[in-house]
Order: sequence, then C-alpha cells, then structure tokens
Amino acid sequence: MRDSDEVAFGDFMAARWTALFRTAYLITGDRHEAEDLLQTSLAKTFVSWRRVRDKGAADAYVRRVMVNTAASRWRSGRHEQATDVLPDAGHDGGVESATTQVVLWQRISELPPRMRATLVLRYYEDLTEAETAREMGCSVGAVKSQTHHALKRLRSSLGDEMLAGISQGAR
Amino acid sequence: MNTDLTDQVHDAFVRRANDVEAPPIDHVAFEAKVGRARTRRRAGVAGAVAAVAAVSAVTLTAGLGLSDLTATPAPPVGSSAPDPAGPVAPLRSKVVWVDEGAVTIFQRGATYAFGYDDLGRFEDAYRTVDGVLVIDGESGLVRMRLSGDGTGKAPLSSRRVTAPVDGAVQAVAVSRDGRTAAWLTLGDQFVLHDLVEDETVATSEVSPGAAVLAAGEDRAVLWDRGRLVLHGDGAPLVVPTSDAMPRDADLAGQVLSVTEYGASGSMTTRFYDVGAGEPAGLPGGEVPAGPGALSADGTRYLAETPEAEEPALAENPAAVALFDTGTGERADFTGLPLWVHEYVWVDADTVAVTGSDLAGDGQDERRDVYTCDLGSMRCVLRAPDANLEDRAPYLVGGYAG
Repeated sequence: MRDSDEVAFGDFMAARWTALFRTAYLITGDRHEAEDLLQTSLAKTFVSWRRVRDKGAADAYVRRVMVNTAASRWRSGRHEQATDVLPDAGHDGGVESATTQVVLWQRISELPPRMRATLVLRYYEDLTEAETAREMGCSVGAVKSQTHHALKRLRSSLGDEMLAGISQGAR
Repeated sequence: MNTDLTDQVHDAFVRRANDVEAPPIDHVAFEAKVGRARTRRRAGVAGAVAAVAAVSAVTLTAGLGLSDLTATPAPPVGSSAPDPAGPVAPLRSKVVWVDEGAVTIFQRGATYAFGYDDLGRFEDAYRTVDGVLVIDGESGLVRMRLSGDGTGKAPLSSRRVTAPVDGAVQAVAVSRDGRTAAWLTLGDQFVLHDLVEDETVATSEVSPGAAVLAAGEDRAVLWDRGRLVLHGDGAPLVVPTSDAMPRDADLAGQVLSVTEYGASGSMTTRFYDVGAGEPAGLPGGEVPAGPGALSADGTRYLAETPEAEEPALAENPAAVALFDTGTGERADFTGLPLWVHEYVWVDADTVAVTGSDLAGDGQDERRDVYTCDLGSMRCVLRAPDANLEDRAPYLVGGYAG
C-alpha cells in the first residue's frame, strides 16, 4: 500500500474507531467480541483500502465487512448470545423507563444474530431498508422479513404490560 | 405499535452504545490481523466476504454438480491431545473447504465433513499435503490430517497431529504443494518447516513488523526492513524491488511475482527469476495485473485484471486473466461470470472460479462454480449456486495432494 493510503487509513481508523466499536458492540453484545470483530473487519478493509473508491463511504464498507464476518462466526453457532452486562448510566425517564430499557435490551440480545444486526443497522445506524440490504449482502425483502420477525418476537416476549409502558412512554 | 417499539429499540441501542467504553486501538493485534488478511487474499479471495471454492478436476470432469452432493455429519474431534505427526499420507482430494465448524473435502461425488468444533473460531487456514493447517483463535497453529475417500474401502478420518510449533504465530504461508510452511513467531523469528519430514529447515531473525508474503518449496519471501527478501536455508537474497511494501507476492517454481502500486495507483505485477543466483527480473515479465496466483511451475500467473476493481460496494464486476510470466502475454477467458469472487489453480491445465451472474442484490451470496480449461481458455459452469447458502467456506485447496 502506498504511504499516502496508509496515512489516510490510519486517520480513518483513529477517527471512526469509537463509533464503529459501538456498532460492533451492538451487533455482538460483547465488548471483547466487538473489539475482535472490529479489528478483523478493519484489517480486511485496510487490505482492500485502495479499492474503496468512495472514502466517504468507508464506514459503510467496514460495517458490511463486520456483518459478513460476524455472520460467518454466527454460523458456527458459538456466538449466539449477547452477554455483556453494562453499568446503567441512568436515564431521564425514571425507574420505570430504565427498567423497560433494560428488559428491552435483554430481549434484543436474545434475538438471533442476523435479526439483531438488522435492527442495529435499521434503528441505530438509521439506514434505509435498501441500505441495510446492501450492507448485509441480502435482498430488501430479507431485511423486511428480518425486521418484521424481530419486532414480532420483541412484542411477543415483552408482554402486554411492558408494551403498554412503551406505548405510554412514547406519548 | 411498531413505531413506538422501534423508537424504543432505537433508544435502547443509543443508550447501550453510549454506555460502552471503546478500548484503545490495539495496534499489535491489528497488524497481525492485517498480515492474515493479506495472506487470505493471496489465496485467491476477492471481496470482503472470505468465501472460496476449489473444485477437483476429477470431480468436475465427471460432470457432478456440487449442489447434488450431500454432507456427511461431522464427527466430533474431541479435546484429546494431538497424535504425533508421523509419516505423511498425501490427501488425494484437491478440493478442501473450511468453515468454522468443519473441514470438508469433495471426494468421489460426495462431500465429507470433518468436525473440529473444539478449535473454536479460526483466523486462517491453509491446505497442506495431508490436510489443513489452521491458525486458531489464539493465533496458535493446529495441524489436522484428513484421510479416506468415503467409499468404505478407505475409511474417513480426521485427527489432530502435533503442530509444528507451540505458541502463537504472527502469520503463516504454505507452499503450493502443501509440503512447506513458513511463519513468524511473536518473537520475530522466521521459521521454514518441512511438513512431510516434520522438521524445521531454516530459521532467522527478522525485524519487528516483518511479514511473510508467500512460501515456496524451499524458501519464503518476506517483507523485512523495507526490503523484499528471500529466506531459505542459505543466505537471504534481496529482491530488487522499489521501497514500497508490495501489495502482494507469490512464489512458485523458480518464479516470484510481486504486485505493487504505481504512482497513479495503478497495479503492476513484476516477475522475477529466483532460480539461481541473485533474483532478477524476467524479460518482459511485467504486467498490468493485481494480486494473483502463480501456477505450480511459475510459468503462468492467474490474476485480477485492471478492470477488476472489485470492491464489494462498487458497481463494476471483477475479472481474471492469465499471464505468461516470461513474456507478459495476456490471455482472456471466455465464459466467466459477471462477478468473480475467487479463483484458484486446480492443476496445471485447469483453474476454478467462483462467482455469479447476478447483477444486483445477492451477487455476493451466490457462488456458482466454473472450471476453465487453459487449452481453450473457456470457462464452463459446473455447479450452480454451490450449496453454500448458509456457510462461509474458505478455500485451502489448489495443487496440494
């Protein structure tokens, strides 16, 4: 790789490390897994860096590599659960809201990995269905299906009482 | 209800993300992963998804579609101590796939999976003369020996044998014939190991940051102290290249290929005669091509072409072509798919290519398998969508065995 490319990639990695780590964490649910996943994905991106024509879209490229790399790990069946328990930093909505958030996160963590990744890209990264499909390497229909089933599972597992709280809190 | 729930999902993600503290960048670990990623691409992987296929000439010329093949359940390997390496019995199948749960070979019209779940996640894998060499999740080497043909006459077996080195390694390369492995220890020692005799044939100290780029039968090529150097059992030989670290290199027969970027970002691959004496450029041996793989005798180079600016997110398709390493003459294939994902030598007269003709979504998922005859330069679809929909296999094939 040319020196200028290395410098450019180094700048990109330094600037985007924290943001991409957070995405990796939400996808994996585990800090160590997230760090490993991000390192691996950035290394793959570095090797292909010259080929990333639109450096402004490098985040998307890394995310796509992350999802694909994570997918191959999921297929091994050894990374099914998000397990990290993070300290609760407190929330503005009071105890009830905080409890809802904790339960919701637990339920999200229990989703199959691909569903979880779909939700991360759709509702954390705020990507469109088409963008999510592109980053996940699947069809738009598959994104719709994954999203639909993920939300259905969440609704089912949260129960009426929790959902009522969510609806109330959203008003 | 969906709107409310999706808002809450968004909030849950944002709060979780804000609560988690990002660790500092571990540059040592990152460099190690870069080394492995480079090696993986050299095996013929194109694109961000490391999924590769090789197809044995025997299997394909028999006209078998891989999608018709069935997988034998993987027997558990267990966690018992590995057996001594002992004498090598070459694995006949040239077709070896690896995913994170199993090594799979194609043999006599069927697939046979050998489990190694006890290894956990692996970083990289290489075809050896008698099986595979795997870099496990702890950067240690694991050697697996595979045997059998699934006919009942030769029972299938897989077993771990003593790895050629204890402890973690930085990067590994294995020769085209699968008989020689080269690696760097974490202590920056270069090791060249004969896998057949199971003995180390050369070692040397290298600088921190050195990288193994490729292994040949009796030596390896390293990037060390800003130079490209051939290391074997004799004195190191410097290859007269520019000061920039090559994008890629391969070593086979008496030929070394070195891919570099030009000032404008164009890719050029040069060929060097490394047969005797000081390495020297081959006459006419400079082609506008990217990373690729030499044939076993080094006379031909299978590579990405300049129009193969393939990034997974870009619009234009990948392509590969064949180059004569002595003259630089290029020969194009006919019948290649629109997108080429991977390519590999099957034998001296055949290469295998995986890819798809899908133009839009899904092109990254599909893996049609083609074989290309070097006599006619014609590629033929052999296995539509090679039964890979839920797997991420990784090639460790090509010439070995």
